[in-house]
Amino acid sequence: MKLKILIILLLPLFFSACSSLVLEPADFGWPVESVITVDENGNAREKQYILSFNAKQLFIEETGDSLSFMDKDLRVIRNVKGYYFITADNFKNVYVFNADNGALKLNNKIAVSDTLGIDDPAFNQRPPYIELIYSGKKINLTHEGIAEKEEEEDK
Amino acid sequence: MKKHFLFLLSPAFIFFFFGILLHAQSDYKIVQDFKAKYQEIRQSIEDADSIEQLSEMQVQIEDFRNESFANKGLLDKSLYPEDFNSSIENLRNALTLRKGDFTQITVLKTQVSELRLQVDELNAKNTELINRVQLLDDQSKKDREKIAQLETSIAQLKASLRERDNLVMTMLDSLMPASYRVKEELTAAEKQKVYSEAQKANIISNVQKAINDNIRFLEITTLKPDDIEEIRRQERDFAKIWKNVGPKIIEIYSEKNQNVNYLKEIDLAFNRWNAAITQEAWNSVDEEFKTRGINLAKFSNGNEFAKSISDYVDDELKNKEVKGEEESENSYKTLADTIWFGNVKQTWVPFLVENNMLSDSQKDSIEVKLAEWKDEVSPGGFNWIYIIIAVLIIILLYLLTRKRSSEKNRSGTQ
Repeated sequence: MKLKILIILLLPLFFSACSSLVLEPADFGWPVESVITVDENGNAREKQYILSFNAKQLFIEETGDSLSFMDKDLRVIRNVKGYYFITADNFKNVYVFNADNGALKLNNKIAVSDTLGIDDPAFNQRPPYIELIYSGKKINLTHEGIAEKEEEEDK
Repeated sequence: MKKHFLFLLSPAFIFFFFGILLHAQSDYKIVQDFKAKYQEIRQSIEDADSIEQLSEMQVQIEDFRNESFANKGLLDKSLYPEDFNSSIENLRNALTLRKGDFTQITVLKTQVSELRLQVDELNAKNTELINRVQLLDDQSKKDREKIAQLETSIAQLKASLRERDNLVMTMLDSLMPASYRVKEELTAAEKQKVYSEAQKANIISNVQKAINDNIRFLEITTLKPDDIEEIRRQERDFAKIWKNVGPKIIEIYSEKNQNVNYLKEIDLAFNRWNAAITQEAWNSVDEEFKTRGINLAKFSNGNEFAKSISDYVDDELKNKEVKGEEESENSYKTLADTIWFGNVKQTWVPFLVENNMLSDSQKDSIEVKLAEWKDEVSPGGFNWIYIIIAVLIIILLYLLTRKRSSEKNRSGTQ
């Protein structure tokens, strides 16, 4: 019994020693999206925030075509929590990634349009959301999905 | 009623519709549009051809600022390392700097026009003076009274040439303002401005005339080292300014299909001027000998000068028997004592050595030759001195021994 009491008393001390250092609050948000042209090898390089990745798999996922990335522009923005939102002209989805051990790992795939791809998409930073506009419409996104459709509210 | 209602509703609808569109604008596009407009204004400032165009740019900058102010927060975050205010300030500063260029150019244009008139007047005056000096130079050989008149005219001509050269230099300097010189490539408008000003000022012809007049002046006058030094300085200053401005003017003229060779001739003319200055120094040295009846073979450099004197001395030695001892000695005294030691060595040799026209070894070789000549024309000169000294020493010794012997004799008797 005494041993149990001792273990219970020492447990908080044990867990507090194991917890990692946290700096908060932190803001990872880019004030403006970046428009990145994919090169002939599928590489996308963002110069201002110094981000580069290979986008081939993203285009295969979206279109099923392994060559559809050629000379395409990607719209990329990072929200305040650090998630990357990526889409492109004629995409039906917005892809949400997080940085993971030297790679961008898919966190969520947000379906924006069920039938046709979206025209002239653009992201705006609107904390706590990422605003997606296309063809005069706009929706607010979080890394979990569509937060609200303002256009519908306006109507 | 229904119609009226629709009429009243339509502006509200339009406002609402565009409100949505405006609201749905991409931040990225706002930033890119701002950057594009910024670059456009900046380029327009660079390309402006007149101060009036710059005044219009000032209005454009203020409009641009007012239009973009609504997005200041976004632009502040996106224009790193600049921000909204610093971008606008950059445009204003660029405008102020460019206005400064135009103000400077306007001042210089007026200056060039004024200088052109003065140069024209001085050109005419100099031509007249050159002719007058030439005439007086011929007359003074027969009529010594004309010498004073000649000297006055030469002084006037020298001052007048100097004045005109300075004006042409200022004009050259004014054609290419400092802001143009630092640029690697002038704009088409700037080139046109330089070209038309250069044409109006008749600059190429004036530079060439200035050089030719200076060469002519050197040809018709005999100068002193100080005068030549002054002209050499003037030539160096002139050549330096031409070097700074000339290549750009040549480039502009060649683009306008002008005769480029004519322009390149100016470079050669500077070389001729420089050579004429050197030759003038040698001619003036020669004149020192000629005026005292010594005709040396023509010389244009230190080596030739030393050889010329050496040859003259050799000739004199060869003709010693024919001329007779007295005349040979007189000839030596004129060349060595009067001209060389009495004048040229003091007046000209320091100038010639300083300007690398005569080396120390060449000077020494002349003096060795003169010493040889002296030994030949008055071989007894040295021996007499030794004899006199020897006689004096003997007399002194004799007096001393005599004094000692008389002292001994006196002590012996005591």
